[in-house]
Amino acid sequence: MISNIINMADKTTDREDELLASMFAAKPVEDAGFSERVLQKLRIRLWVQRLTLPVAATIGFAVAINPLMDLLALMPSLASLVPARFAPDIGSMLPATQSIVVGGLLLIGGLGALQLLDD
Amino acid sequence: MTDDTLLVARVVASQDTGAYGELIRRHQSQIRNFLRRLTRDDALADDLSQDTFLHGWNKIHTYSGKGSFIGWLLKVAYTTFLQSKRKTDRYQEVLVEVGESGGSVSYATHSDEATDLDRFMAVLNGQERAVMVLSYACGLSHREISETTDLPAGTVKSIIHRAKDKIREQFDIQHHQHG
Repeated sequence: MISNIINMADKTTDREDELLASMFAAKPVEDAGFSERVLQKLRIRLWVQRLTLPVAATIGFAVAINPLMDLLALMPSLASLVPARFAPDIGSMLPATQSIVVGGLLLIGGLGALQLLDD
Repeated sequence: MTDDTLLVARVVASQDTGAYGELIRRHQSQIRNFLRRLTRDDALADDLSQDTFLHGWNKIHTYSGKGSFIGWLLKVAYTTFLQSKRKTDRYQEVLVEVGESGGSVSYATHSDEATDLDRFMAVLNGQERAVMVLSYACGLSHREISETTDLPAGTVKSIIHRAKDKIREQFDIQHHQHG
């Protein structure tokens, strides 16, 4: 008798569950370009993330180049202030301004090329 | 390893957008349906689905391979939904404070074309709605719902029980047809 009651309760619950499941059931949603839109946003985000560092570095370089040049131009005269026994030939140890600019550009170009290869 | 796990491995190893695209195509329907059930606003649900997949890309390395990928993705969707709801709720509070009426976005509060399901959902609170949708629309087990919602399995069971009681109190389920 008890088991019959339990079985009836189970059957009621099953029936109720089935009805709830059928009510909650939804037709599959057509993709209709949704996936492609998400991927497009994702690709744009990735490009922005990848470009952020090189662009920031380039802007920083552009902002810093003039003060850097001024500083480099002052270096020989600053070097002359240092007693000869401490800095015998600082001027000759410093790289030429042109070399620094070319080196910086090569570094930025190299980073960009590496990212393109990575893509 | 399942097909999904292989695709996830490709995404994690080499940021393969093609593999992630395949995952989106496979699961977009379930995610969009889940969010449509929660928000009852197709456009809002699609926006949240888009956010879900974008968040999913950023967090995919946290998927350990235990449990189904769709379960993990539903968790991301549910978190995205809750975050969006919190923002909207705060916005509504501000509107009330400044004396304006009528919010622009409503989460499952009313509908002109209310179906049986809409009426059922209206008697449930947000947590009950989410658990019922995960259980009956997404077919997740209690354990999977527990992982998705970060609720203990016992709590999930009692929420389902309570939700069914509420629905029973308000409606005669046995005589309702598919809505």
